[in-house]
Amino acid sequence: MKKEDINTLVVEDNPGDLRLVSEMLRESRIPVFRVTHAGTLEDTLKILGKEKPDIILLDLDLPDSCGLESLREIVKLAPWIPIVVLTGVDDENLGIEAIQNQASDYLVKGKINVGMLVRSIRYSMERKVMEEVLRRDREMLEKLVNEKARELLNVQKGMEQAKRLTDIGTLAATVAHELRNPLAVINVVSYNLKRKINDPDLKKQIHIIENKVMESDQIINNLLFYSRLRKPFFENVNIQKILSEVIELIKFDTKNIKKARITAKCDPIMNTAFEADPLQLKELFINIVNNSFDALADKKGAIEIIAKPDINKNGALIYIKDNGSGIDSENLSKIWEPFFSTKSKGTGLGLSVCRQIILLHNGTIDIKSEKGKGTTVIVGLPCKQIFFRNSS
Amino acid sequence: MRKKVMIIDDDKVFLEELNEVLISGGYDVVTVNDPVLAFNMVDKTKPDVILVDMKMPSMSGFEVANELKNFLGYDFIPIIGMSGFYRDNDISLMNMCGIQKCLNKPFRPLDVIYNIEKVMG
Ligand SMILES: Nc1ncnc2c1ncn2[C@@H]1O[C@H](COP(=O)(O)OP(=O)(O)O)[C@@H](O)[C@H]1O
Ligand SMILES: [Mg+2]
Repeated sequence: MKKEDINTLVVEDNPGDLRLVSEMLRESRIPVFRVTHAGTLEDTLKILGKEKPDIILLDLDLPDSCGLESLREIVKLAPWIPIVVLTGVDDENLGIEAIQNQASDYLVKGKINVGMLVRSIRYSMERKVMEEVLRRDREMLEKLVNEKARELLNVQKGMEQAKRLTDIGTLAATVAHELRNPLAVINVVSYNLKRKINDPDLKKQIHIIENKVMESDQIINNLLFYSRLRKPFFENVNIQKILSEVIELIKFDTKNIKKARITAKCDPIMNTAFEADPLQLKELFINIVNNSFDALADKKGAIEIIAKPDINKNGALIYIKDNGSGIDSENLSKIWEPFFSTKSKGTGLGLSVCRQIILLHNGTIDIKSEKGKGTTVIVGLPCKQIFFRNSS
Repeated sequence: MRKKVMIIDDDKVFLEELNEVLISGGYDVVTVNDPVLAFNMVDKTKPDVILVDMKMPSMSGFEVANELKNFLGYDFIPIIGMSGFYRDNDISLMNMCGIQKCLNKPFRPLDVIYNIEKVMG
């Protein structure tokens, strides 16, 4: 059989009609038609399960199915095969309906000649190919559009988040500064009170007030620190170096080293330069590691930092793992919200700032946590900042 | 001889309480609630050191200090600022206005006394 030969499945229960069509097909020399025949829908579907004819000539009225139902069944099974429907003389309307139901063309029995039949078959086959191409193009386009839409949505979400954080930043700065004035008054008043009284109990209580003023001041400092978030200034940084600086800084607080052992393992490849804002990266890791220390409470714990290359994304993955309290599953989605905190002295801004920094670096941040077992924060950072490199 | 300290602040309560702190610390104190009135008071009372709030509604601490130092010729009186909004990049501005030191609110009263002594040498 030659490649140009056209495998034709004729679905027809009337022997006379079948013979007529078969003969016409046999008359054609170019192309040559190879004819298979089925007399019922059941047979047709069976054949289509095994073979892939190039064209189906379909009489709609079969012993086991009639009308458009036969067509629909076949289209369902083999949507890629073009179908030419053969209708009776009084059934032109049925033919049009057939086309609306995915038939490629229709011919009226008794009004067919060889030329018409062959032209219809070729036309149907070509049209099917075009349809297929169009369908694939459309699917591709749809996929692209969806992707783009999702991208835009993410950007927009990011921008909203960024805007909210800027608002929060401005608000925080204003509130923080304003709060310092009354705190100053409380401090001075406490001092004067303390001088005037001799009752040691009262003195102790005033001392508590003074301590709380200092604590409030610390919270304000944190807020101001967080509100200073700005556009990153990208330079070539060594992540390994940044991580060891962060660890040094954190060990400075002796209560931390008493509480836990902290180790960092960096893949040697991590010595390659990353484009990032070094101050923001430090801020990022300090926030994450501080959270880990907080989660350890007073039990002896371990914090492990592992940095390794992310070959697929041409970047790095940094894991910060602790065996602390873990996070309640119902809180997992909330921890990213600004001001969400489960700590009595938390500002709840740490992770929002982290996410913001990550967004500015085109990276990723994920948290996996199991209540009672511990938490792992996974930071993904790209090696290069193509999009933002030259924007100021 | 007792040293004379002028405090300029728009917060009356703060003014009174700080007044009490300084009196107990052995200083003579002049309090000024409205910075606009400060210049006249400086002429009249000739303080040895001035404490000024940096953020007041009618006039900032910078303006008060600048007026005193660069227009009224009181560049020999040391000035200490008090601010809840202290930023590093204000240091040069502070220097230009003759503010020798800025105390961050909320400071401890003993820090005020410590710094008064320090700026007077
Ligand atoms: N490593 C961790 N282990 C347990 N809980 C964590 C960890 N990191 C973050 N969390 C939870 O997420 C919350 C929000 O964190 P964050 O935004 O840094 O604010 P804050 O530390 O001020 O509470 C924390 O209060 C805590 O409940
Ligand atoms: Mg935190």
